[in-house]
Amino acid sequence: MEVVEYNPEEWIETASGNKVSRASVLCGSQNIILNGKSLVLPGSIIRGDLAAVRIGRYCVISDRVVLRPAYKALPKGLNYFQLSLGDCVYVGKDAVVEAASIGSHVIIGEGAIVSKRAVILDCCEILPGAVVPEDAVIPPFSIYGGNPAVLIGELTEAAQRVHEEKAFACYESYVPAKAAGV
Amino acid sequence: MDVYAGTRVECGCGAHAEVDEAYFCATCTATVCSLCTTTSVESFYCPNCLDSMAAGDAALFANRCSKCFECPACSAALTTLHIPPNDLHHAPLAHLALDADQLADGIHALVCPFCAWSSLDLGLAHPKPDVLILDSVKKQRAAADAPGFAALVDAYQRAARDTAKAAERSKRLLKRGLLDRNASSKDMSHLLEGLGSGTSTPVGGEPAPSDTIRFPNEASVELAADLPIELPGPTRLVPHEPITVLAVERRMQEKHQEMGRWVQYGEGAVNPPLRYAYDGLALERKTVIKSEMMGFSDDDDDEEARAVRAAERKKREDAEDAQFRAVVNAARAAARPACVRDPYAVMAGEAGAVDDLASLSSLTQRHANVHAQPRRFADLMPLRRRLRVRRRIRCNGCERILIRPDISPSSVKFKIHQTALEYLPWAELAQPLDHAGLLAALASTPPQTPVVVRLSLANPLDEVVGVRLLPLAGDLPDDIELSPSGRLHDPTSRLHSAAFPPTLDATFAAGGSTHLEARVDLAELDMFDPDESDLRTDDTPELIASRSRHRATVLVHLTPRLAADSLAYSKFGFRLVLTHAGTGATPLTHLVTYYVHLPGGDPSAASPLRVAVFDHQAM
Repeated sequence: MEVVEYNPEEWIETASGNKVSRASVLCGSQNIILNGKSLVLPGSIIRGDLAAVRIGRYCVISDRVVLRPAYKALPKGLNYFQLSLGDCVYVGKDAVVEAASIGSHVIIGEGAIVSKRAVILDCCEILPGAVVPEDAVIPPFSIYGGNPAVLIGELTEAAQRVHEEKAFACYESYVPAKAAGV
Repeated sequence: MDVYAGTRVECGCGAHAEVDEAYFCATCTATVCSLCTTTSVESFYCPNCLDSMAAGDAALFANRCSKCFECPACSAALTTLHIPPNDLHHAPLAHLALDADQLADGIHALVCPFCAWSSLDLGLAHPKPDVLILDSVKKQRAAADAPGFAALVDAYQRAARDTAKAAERSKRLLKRGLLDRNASSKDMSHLLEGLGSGTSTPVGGEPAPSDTIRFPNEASVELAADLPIELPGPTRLVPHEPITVLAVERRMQEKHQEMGRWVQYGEGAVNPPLRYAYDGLALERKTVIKSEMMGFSDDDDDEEARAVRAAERKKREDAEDAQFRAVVNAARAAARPACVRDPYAVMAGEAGAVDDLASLSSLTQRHANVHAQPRRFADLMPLRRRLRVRRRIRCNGCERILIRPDISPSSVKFKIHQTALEYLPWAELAQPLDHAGLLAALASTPPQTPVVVRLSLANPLDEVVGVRLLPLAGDLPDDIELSPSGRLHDPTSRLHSAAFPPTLDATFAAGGSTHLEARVDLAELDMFDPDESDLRTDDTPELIASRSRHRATVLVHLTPRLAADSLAYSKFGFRLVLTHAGTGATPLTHLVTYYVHLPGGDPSAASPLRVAVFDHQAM
């Protein structure tokens, strides 16, 4: 994978290996939990002020992604749910995620919209531009695409390994400018 | 992001499969493509509620969930929405058969969260959600033509059984010598049966009117109209009467007698049946041609008379052809349904029957509900969610199970999981390189001096493996012996290999011997610091460039076989001897042949990197 050099002054690297761009917007950072080795790229918005947002390891939050906890309208008012992402989740550029839960080894394509309270289980792929309806449940090894997103195909049994390697390679391809080419 | 893009594995059948779509059979000790496997259903489950369903229940519910519904308009999962009493004045309650007491606590309805389709317009709402689901199922069954379809299936199954019994009875009679004439007319009986008049049992169990013929389907009628043979006459063969040899022969005798009368007494004497028109014309033409041939010798030299006769014959033939075309077209027109005869009229009538075209359902929506196929959007019924399956995959060669998923639909674990990625060591170029770049590197080095490229090897196993890299050319070293079932890969045995032979020789320093660390689990990855090198003290710098976890970057020395200027593409291969402890008492050794192919031409159009794993033999 092509090496991407970044300016260390424009990024924050945590002790657990998370790399967060200073150009990203993290609202309510006390409610945002990054488990380690995750990338938060410039322009992305994480709404931790609404509810807790948990992001697993080796996740990639691409440019201009919006992570927003879902809510349900109750007579007493809006009730926000926690948004959790598993390990090795790749969220493509310009995607909007309002899901209740996203499992591990999931790829969300560029410009995709995951509507409120959707549940995406492990080893899934949402194609670019797809719109996952509200309250949808996407079972493992599924490929969903379209508007509304419907089942397009199934991933192979080796999808977990493939997605894992992609996540590792993507994380390792982001290196500080001084370390590039070493 | 495509780590494995362009990487293929060669199956034993010779086909190339993507590396993430191939399996590894430990019994055959070979990689297996999906075409060499057998798939069976392990379990059924609903993709919405994730409930497993037994095979019997799945068949009972027609492979659909018993409690989940999907939108008939957009296929999204429907949700049950509670409408409180205060909001009921907004809801269309005209179709509901509920009294005021039942509306006191509000009602439940099926609503699509995506397109806002609601079951209220169909009158599907109830204070209790369980009753709502039951009503939905009942209404769907009532709207569908499922009972009629089931009756049709039963009737055809019964007809098939009767036909089989008749065939069996005929065989018995033949054996006893009581039906010896049946053999010569067997084919004709089957032909007429295919045209629709041979069904021994009427569909639905009721006898058809005696003056009509019931065809099994429109295709049979089309077939009958297209064939240049007579259509079965309505009054000749009794519909649904079993066709016997005697009936067919009697039918042919009657036809010959009638044709004989027609020819004998002239065209105007007996009006031949329309269905005999073609045969009659053919017979008449034969008679005329015969008479012409008989009188041809009398005035052989009279060219004028011959021209007149030819013109008359052509005129007569044109008339006959026109008459024949009229007969066939009439039969075809009668056989085709109205929507085929004049589709625009049907469409115009359909469009005129509705207020606007937007109220018509789309073809996708109609096909989603096979039985009902409602034409109007307002008639669409909620559909029960289709079930999905988890599959068990076996090797075709040895019946060994390669993939057996966990029983839980939400789990991604496998009881048996033998994919090629789990067993084959992974090899890829560690640096961006294409054919043009390699040619430039060759041009910048002195002649006969190898170019060094970096190759990344990854260990897929959770144990340390010993690796020995060998050049493709030449025999194996003496200390390596092939097993009886093992074989060395022949580069010229496959189409791709024969068309693209290696153009570079790959060699390795220090005999190519090294090892790969065990693959680490995701939970242990924090122990590794990517900034620190994992090089060991016994690593040879001429062979190992770097290490990272279970990966090692080795240096490959490439020497062109031809002049560098004449290389149309770059391809090199090497053999990898893999030794690991395994689960048995003795260590396991495998031999894998790799090829790296850098196609020539435009680098943007060609695949940037192709690593092909071609063989896998046990030793």
